Amino acid sequence: MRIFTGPRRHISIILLLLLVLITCVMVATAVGSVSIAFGDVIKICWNKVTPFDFTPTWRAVDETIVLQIRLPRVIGGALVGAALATAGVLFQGLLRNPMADPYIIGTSAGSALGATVAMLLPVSTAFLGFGMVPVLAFAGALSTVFLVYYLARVGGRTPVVSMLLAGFVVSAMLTALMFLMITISDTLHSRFASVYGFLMGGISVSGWGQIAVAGPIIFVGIVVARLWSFRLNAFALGEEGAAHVGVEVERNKALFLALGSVLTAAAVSISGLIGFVGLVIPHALRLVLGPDHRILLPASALAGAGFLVIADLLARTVASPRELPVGIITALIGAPVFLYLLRRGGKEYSL
Amino acid sequence: MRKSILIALLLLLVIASLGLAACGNESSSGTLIDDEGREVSVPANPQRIVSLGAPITEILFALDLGDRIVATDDYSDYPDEAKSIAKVGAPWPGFSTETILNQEPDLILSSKGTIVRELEPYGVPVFVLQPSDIAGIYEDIRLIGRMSGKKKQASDLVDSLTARVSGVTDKTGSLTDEQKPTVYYEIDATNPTSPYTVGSGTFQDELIALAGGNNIGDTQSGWYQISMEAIADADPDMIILEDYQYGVSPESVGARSPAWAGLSAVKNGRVYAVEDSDLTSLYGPRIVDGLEVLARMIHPELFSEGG
Repeated sequence: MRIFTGPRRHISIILLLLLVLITCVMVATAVGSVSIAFGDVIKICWNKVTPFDFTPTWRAVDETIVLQIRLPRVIGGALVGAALATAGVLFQGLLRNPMADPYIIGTSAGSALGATVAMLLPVSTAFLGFGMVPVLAFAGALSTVFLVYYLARVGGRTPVVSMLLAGFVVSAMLTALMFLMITISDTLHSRFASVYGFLMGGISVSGWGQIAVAGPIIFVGIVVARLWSFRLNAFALGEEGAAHVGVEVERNKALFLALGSVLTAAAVSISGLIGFVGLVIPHALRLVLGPDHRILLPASALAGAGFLVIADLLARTVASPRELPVGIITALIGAPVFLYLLRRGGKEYSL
Repeated sequence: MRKSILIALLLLLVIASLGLAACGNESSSGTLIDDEGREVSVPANPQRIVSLGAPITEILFALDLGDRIVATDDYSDYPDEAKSIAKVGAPWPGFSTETILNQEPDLILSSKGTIVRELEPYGVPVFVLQPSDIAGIYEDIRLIGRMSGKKKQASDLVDSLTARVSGVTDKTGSLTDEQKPTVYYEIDATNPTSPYTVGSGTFQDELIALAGGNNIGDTQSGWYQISMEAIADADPDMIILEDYQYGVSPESVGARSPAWAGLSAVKNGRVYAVEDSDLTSLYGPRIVDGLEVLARMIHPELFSEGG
């Protein structure tokens, strides 16, 4: 296994990425559609986390904006980016398919349908900051994966190709169902801007309540993924190869699928469908770091988090106070960066 | 030189008055310019009108032309009689061209959209009505009156609408900026971090201004997603929910997050619901009802209930 490198190098890479992420978070918290002096932002945060207080020289609303609006949103963006990038690594490794992304097994269509149904319901329950849309998006994503897995299962086995095909077909059906609903429902029709907003992706964290729920799910998911990275490395040998090194293929396939889907569903529930992060961050890091999942998983999580924090910063500031869907930004800045990495390497690259 | 200009002006005046006298209350066939700047040759006194726009249908009914409508778009549901007229589709997913032509219309009045080009080859005049402000609505009411022999009714309708608008602006026009509450107007908050609001150039923005309010979203144009930061920063005096129609109640706004709960409008209970968004978003005569609704919300002290 010559592809595996030493743990010392791993630690320095992780520390470097962590530093980058912290910088991104700080910049994103300091900048927004309302301009607040950088010093004030630091002091506001300092006052919040330490018992020693600076005398406030800023407006009360600045404190609300930094602590209740901007910071939860930045943290939310980091969580979503980390979850999508991790899920991307899991699905690419599990399915051994370079086009795999967190949405490949049907989470996107399932969550979109769930969100659409939620918009049709004439209720506005807000629970911990969650409306009906995130709840049904989460449920839709998970139940779709469950359905696809069940459909692809033949005689105790779930072949990867069957899963991809079933996922594609189920997605097509659910998407058609969603558009049928939009077409015949006046309510959805007039709310199309919001359906569209969900499809294009946008961090929808309006307070700490949502972070308190989605945060632990995503954090635990990433830790578990890292703990299981040896098994994911084994999958790179092919399913037979994995079985040879003692990995229970079918059981682990189900576990990885569940893990990746929970991560994706948690992300989708607070951000809609943000494309590109889950597909390209893992590829970009694989180009730089190689295919060992022990380093690829945590590195992708950190890089995905930083990338999305910056993308969201741009989404909410380039046309401020107008906000753009973050999915547009991820693709517009992500694609050139990835293409640069792809060309620079100059060597043939395989998963 | 000066004399010749005077003569020319006199001549113009004579021609113009002759023209006016000739028109009277009959309909004039001829070429008219529609809201897209197209020259459309409109028949004299059309009898089979297709209306592709709910506000157009409302204007037609307000001018007693309801019985000449042979078909409407799917969304024309006001007044009640409009519901029983044949329906021919909607801008999205699309109109049925055959169903429209099957009605053998002699005039099609339509909102802006691709359907206008699609109908052009069939020889039926398609006249586009898409006003961008209240003055434009008056203009379109007059245009419809002029093409269909209802000039008098059209001018009466415009006069009564103008009088009602004045009834509002007489009271709000003299307000100073400090006396005008700042308003955050919500279209859809599915994503409560960046909800949709209205900017300049929208009917809602014009109505808020006429009703004596100050729209915090008017630094941008059209409908757009405003950042929650900008809302907190502006800390509007009041919130008006057009998404009430989707089940968003005034009470639920504070439950979204502490940042929402902390807004002055929420703390002071100044969150209001627009119960019928057709009044504030459609360019029909009922837009003045919408103005009166907003005026009562924004300045309850000036406009007593029902006044």
